[in-house]
Amino acid sequence: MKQTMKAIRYFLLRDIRTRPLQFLSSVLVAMSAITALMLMLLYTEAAWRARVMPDHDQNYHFVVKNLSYSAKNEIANQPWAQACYEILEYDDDGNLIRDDFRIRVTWDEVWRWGDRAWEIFDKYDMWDNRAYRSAYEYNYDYILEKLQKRYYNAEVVNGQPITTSAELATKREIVLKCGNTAFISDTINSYTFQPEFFGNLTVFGMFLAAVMAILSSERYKRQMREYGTLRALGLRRRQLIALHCTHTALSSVCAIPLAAGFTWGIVDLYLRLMGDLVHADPAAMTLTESIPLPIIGWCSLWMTVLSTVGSLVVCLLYRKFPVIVLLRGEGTFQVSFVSKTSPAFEDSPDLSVYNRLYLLRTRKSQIFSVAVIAIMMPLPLMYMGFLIDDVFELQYTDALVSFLYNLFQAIFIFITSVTVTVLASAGMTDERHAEFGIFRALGIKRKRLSDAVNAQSALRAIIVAVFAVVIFVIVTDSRLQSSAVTAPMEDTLPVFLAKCLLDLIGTAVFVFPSVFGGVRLSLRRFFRRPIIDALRDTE
Amino acid sequence: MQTKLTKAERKLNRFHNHEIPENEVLVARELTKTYFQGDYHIKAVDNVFLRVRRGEFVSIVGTSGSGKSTLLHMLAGLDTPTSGQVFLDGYDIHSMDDDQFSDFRAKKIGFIFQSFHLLPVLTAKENILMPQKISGDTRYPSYFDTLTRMLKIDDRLHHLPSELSGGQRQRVAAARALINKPDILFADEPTGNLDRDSAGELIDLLLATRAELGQTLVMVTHDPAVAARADRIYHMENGVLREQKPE
Ligand SMILES: Nc1ncnc2c1ncn2[C@@H]1O[C@H](COP(=O)(O)OP(=O)(O)O)[C@@H](O)[C@H]1O
Ligand SMILES: [Mg+2]
Repeated sequence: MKQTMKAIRYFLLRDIRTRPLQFLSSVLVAMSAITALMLMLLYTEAAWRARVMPDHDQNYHFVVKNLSYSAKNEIANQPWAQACYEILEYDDDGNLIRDDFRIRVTWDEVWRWGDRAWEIFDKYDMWDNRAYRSAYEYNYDYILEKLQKRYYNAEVVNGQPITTSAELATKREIVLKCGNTAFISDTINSYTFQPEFFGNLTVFGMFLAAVMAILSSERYKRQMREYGTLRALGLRRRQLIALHCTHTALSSVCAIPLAAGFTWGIVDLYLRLMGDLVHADPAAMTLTESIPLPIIGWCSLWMTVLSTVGSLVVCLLYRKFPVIVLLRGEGTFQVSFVSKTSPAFEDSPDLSVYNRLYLLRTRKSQIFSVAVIAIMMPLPLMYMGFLIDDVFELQYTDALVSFLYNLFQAIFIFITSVTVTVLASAGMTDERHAEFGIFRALGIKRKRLSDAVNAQSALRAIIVAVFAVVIFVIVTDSRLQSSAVTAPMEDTLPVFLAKCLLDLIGTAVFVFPSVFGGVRLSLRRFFRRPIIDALRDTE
Repeated sequence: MQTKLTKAERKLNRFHNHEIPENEVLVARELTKTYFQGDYHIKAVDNVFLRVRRGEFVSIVGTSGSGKSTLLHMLAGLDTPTSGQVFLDGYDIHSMDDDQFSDFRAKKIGFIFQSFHLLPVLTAKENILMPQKISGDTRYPSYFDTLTRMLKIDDRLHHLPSELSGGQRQRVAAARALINKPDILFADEPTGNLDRDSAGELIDLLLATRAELGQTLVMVTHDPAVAARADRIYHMENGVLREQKPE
């Protein structure tokens, strides 16, 4: 047993050394997903955001008087509290004449925390105006905004307008740090169990699992003969699975420090770009300051597990192949049992029937390839949604800020998903070069072959797009429903359908160019070489 | 009488070499294939000249690795030569445009591969009928039954290649190569996977169809008994082709 583990380790290390690019691509993919997740989780924490977002007119300032120190601490430690200030004033004798506690929030954020925020608001009676409460209760964003505008110049105790608070701030103000401490305790205690947190983890996890499944299955196909040899030499099925999955897990682990470094770099770059707007000093942010350790921990654990799961699925898919099939490298075709020659084949005058038979008889591989891309898609779709939202709100200062911030993450996600889809699509087509070679040897013209392949790819892309939208709708819908506050208005059917259509278009924008790009790449490679290269006779 | 040529025919004519006699269906000149591997290179096929007359049966023998398959692939236009020319029916196939040559392959050439190359998702019957789907040629509807009966695969028609034995796959591959009644048939060790009796039967069949259709047959073989039945025998050694002088 110990001996086998040694053999596995030896093979794995040799594998990484001889094919470093394969390992590196896996590391980079994991890195980009983990980086985006870290950036996203940082963003969902109000205190962290307060440091990199400007104080703008969608922020709301509450002032509560004469709170005890522990009460102030409790509020400051709420994950929805962006920033807190203690404003203390003394008379000439040194007596405290004023003890105000100012809290900066965004309604968005307060909503996100639902019942928990509500409790605190009740406890410290932060609703001095009934209108706030009912507007909040019904989730009327625009009413809250109006209220805030209306009180803009009025002297109110609670919900103090910005100008006044800014003036006050120049006086004797102590900034209570409500930053990462709140996050560190809350991540473990409560935030973790927030539906939104889980929602995000799920979408990101799905993305990474799918992406790794694609890379992993390409790797499996490439190494099938080697795996066959190892099995023939006595490696057990389980050990082979362990060998294959360890490669993936290892690449995720290697991606973690890279991702942390990258996240830090991006935050730094972002602050340098937006520093003036957000009044932040980029130099002040160290790595551990800008990324709380629990976030790194959570992301790493979750993403490593999920990427390994993606790899495991591939192994299970290929589990049943006998050693001889692996040795011959024939396992890539999973031809389902055929009882009889298709009657359609005899009637059909042309080649389209082959396309149909091919899809039908290799359906297991087809379903896998469609499913992984469909599972991967919700994340890029989500980011596309964020960016579109931001573009529509660019009139606000903070929209530009958040647009840029989202853009950084989106770039990672978009590049990764497009690259992987191209890879998967090219890989699937590469696998068929021998088959194409036969067709060419039988005298089929280039154009006819490309047309047939393209028709299939179009079909696959359409199916992927539809599946992706279905998954996306299910995931986002459950995320909305699980949040404590209900949406102000239920979507009517036409609105819902219109949204689905938009999602479909968004998916198509991704899927079609990358699927066809991959196919073209592979076909170009095929056509450039002599036919026999794809058919190489072995004696 | 001067007939008007279509554009495609005129285009095709540019690759026609009129100096090649009508009855020489396959001509190779200075055919060379070099594989470069790092610093050193292998001349798999070395300056081969070959002329095959219409209806002839030519066999090529030689040790393993002597370049027989490489030569056959280039003659059938499946591989590109490093230098030299191949003329089929007087047309320079390696200069021709790809579409034109594809039509050639679909209608005039049959190739039996050493390792079969059947389409794995299709049953034996579908594999055999594939060339008809490609060329759109259904001139010989009853030929399928004749072929499969003669090759004794008529009881295995609905099996996938993975469910067939090596010998059965070989015969399916032969049927596929013959279904369009090609003018010229290339066969790369077609009896390599067959027992003595089946091998004899397959050769009988190939010779019978050749006689019936006036086909030209170029066959690579290990089997001296098979080679002996050819009109002419060539020996291949280290890429060099030599004709065996009849005793
Ligand atoms: N793709 C290739 N790359 C390098 N060398 C090759 C390649 N294909 C064949 N060869 C070499 O060319 C020579 C002839 O091969 P082949 O034509 O298959 O021989 P035969 O069919 O006579 O056994 C051999 O030495 C073989 O190693
Ligand atoms: Mg050979």
